[in-house]
Amino acid sequence: MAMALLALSCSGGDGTDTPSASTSSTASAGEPRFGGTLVVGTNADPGPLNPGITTSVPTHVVTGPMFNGLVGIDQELQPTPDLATSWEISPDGLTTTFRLAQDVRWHDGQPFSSADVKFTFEQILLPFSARTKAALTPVLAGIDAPDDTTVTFRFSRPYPAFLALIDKVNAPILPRHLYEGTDPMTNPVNQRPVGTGAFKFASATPGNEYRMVRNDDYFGEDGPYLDEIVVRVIPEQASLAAAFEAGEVDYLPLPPEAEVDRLAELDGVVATDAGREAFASVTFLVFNLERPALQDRRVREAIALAVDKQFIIDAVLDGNGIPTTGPISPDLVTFYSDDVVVHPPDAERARTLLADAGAADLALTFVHDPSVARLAAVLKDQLDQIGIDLQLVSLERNAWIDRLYKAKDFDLSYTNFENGPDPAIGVHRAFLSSNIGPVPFSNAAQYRNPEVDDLLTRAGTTVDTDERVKLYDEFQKIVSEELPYLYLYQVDRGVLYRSEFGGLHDDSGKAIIYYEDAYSREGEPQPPSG
Amino acid sequence: MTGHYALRRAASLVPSLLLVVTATFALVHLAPGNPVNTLAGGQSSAEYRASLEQRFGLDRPLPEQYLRYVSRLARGDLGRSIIQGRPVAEVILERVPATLMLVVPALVLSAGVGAALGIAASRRPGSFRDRLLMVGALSGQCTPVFVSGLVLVLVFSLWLGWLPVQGMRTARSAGHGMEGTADLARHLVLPVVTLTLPHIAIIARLTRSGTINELHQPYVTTARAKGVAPGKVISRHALPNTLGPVATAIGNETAFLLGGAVITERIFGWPGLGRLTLDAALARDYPVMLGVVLVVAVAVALVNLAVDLLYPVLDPRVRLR
Repeated sequence: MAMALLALSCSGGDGTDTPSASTSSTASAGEPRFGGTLVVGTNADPGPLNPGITTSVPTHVVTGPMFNGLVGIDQELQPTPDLATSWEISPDGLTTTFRLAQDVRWHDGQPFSSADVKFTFEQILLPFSARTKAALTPVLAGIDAPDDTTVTFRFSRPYPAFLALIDKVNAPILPRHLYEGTDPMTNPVNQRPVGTGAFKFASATPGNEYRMVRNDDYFGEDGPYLDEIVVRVIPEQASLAAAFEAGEVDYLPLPPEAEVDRLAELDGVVATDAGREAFASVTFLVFNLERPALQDRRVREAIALAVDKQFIIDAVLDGNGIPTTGPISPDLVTFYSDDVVVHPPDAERARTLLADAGAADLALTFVHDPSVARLAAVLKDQLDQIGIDLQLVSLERNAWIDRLYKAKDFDLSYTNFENGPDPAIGVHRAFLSSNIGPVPFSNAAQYRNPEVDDLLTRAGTTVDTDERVKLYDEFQKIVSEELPYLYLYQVDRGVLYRSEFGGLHDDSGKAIIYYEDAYSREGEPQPPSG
Repeated sequence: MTGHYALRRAASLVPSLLLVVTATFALVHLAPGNPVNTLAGGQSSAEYRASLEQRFGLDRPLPEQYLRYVSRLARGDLGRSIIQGRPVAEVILERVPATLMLVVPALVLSAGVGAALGIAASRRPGSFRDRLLMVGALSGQCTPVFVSGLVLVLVFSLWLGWLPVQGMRTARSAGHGMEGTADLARHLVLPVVTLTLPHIAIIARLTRSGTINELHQPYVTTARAKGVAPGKVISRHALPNTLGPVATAIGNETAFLLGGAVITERIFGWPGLGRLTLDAALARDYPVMLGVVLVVAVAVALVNLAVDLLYPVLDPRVRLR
């Protein structure tokens, strides 16, 4: 779910009394120290530990420390060196050439090279990663690896968003020698991942705990500082909150909605929303457009009119969110448009529309994972008021992803789409007809509109910003009227961590899944010898 | 004679286990719709459905599937987990020790404490002590595990800071040897107490009513008339006669304890069978669910067998033939 729940508030909106009263500045004080264990608490199991085949946040929370991308992203959303130490864009904008770091080794000792990069993009990311597939397939002409430390991407048209799309969330580089000739979905390496990252896989008990230890041979200049990172899976939200309160867990990248305000007030807790610029996620209600009842636009509009977004934000998110009118987050100030069709709550009109569509007494399924149980309950109640019987189907997170994107067996569902720093990264994938497939976080509604395909393809490959703005304006108008999805809200929720730790979320671009800079203030001033 | 009896009782397990096996098979195959629909969803592609059918051998005739299922079970093969992609037997076995660590102490504690409370209450039926104990027992029995568990966490972990909130070991440094054992013990306390509370109540009430009933029997009056001390009347005369039904109840409690473990393990993040069951149910991981049903059925059957075999020891009136 595309870094989803993390994405935080609207920059111009009601961000003033959010839980982020104490800012990340407290965290950046002091020199990094060595040693210690960071315990991360999450409420969903990551599933297979392959970051290249899913953008699901719980997966990346675990795999983040173990992998690298070609570049990182800094606070201004500009690329920073990661596996690539430098890069060059040709004057015509059609090729981007990366110079890779030297002497990088995979955790199993094998050398890393440009062949790994070429393999990862061609065999894993383009076929299996929703965002990369939607963004790059229309424009990428080829990838060359002329020598071990050089890799060149050739484009058929200039692709301005490219450097924002190749960080380790969107494009983690995987080991060719372990994945070549295998099915990356089922390869046993997914149980014991091998990366280039600052931390190495140590052990896993699925559904319970994942442990990683410091990679002493890490190629990065600073860090890692921590000895160990432990990710505990605690599905019960009250227990997750209690474990954080009791100090058993140090870091909550996805704090429980109902508890976040209370936990943020505790002594020794840092609440920050740094990172929201990089995520900006919008929660969608997904209509399965292959279901006859939902193919009638009047039925989708009736549902839109029945849903009271502000009530949902107050009741489900304890006020920590803003209603959205379209798929592009208001955080993306350049491309966001409010010139769209809106659907203020109007049960009367909704019932009339349903009657006109001959869809009175409709029964629909709402397939979801337990993290949105409260949203499901509110939706059921709101749709009940216009005579729709919403049947709730709660599935474990990975089963929900399978049901939504692979089996496509649902009437209504939900999903969080992280916009990323550019709509080309996070928004296109949900609307392009070429992106309907078994890939998680792709075009879940199975929406097909040639005009939208054309608008997005042009918007993704046009360099001129004013021209892009016009294309995205038109796109937002169309999809707010056609309603392949109902755009519910943007979560305005920070992360929480204990103030004994530093180097977390100092840098928005490194939020959530970058741990190489994290350190314990109770650690040693010098690295351990040997 | 006892050996023969034990063998006969053990042999009688075979048909009941076969019944369980057949029932679990039927659960999947005779439920409305076919299992592929359940697994793949109504709108899945033909290709995906075919691959599932082949993977689970669902393209074969039903009797053949049944025989294959039984013969696989006989070899300890419970199939593969859909979600984890590993053998079900492996997935289940690695969770068994954690659950035993909860259930065995809970069983012992609920039996011991429950019986003691029941006897204490039975001494003067209707007295203040009796009423207090029984009201306490009733509240223990009525409080859902998810309420008592969270209240215990609130008091002992968050307010007093004595015991950990979740997990089986401290994530940071569990320690080794004695230190590791102590760490594990500290993590055990709250889940075991949570799991035990409702069952203490059941055993206490059963022991109380059984003992009171026995105390009205003529042989007790005789014992009293002979001048046997009141404590001894209970311990030597009345109690042994109530132990049979109590033992049976303890046997039955095993199934309920395992059920209680589902919620308790979720609250305390305890990595046992209970959490596996819930996760598998939410994930629609049928092979794991069926595997758990089988393992639990076998466990409950074995405990009940043990209770049956204990009966003659507890109650000499039961003659084994």
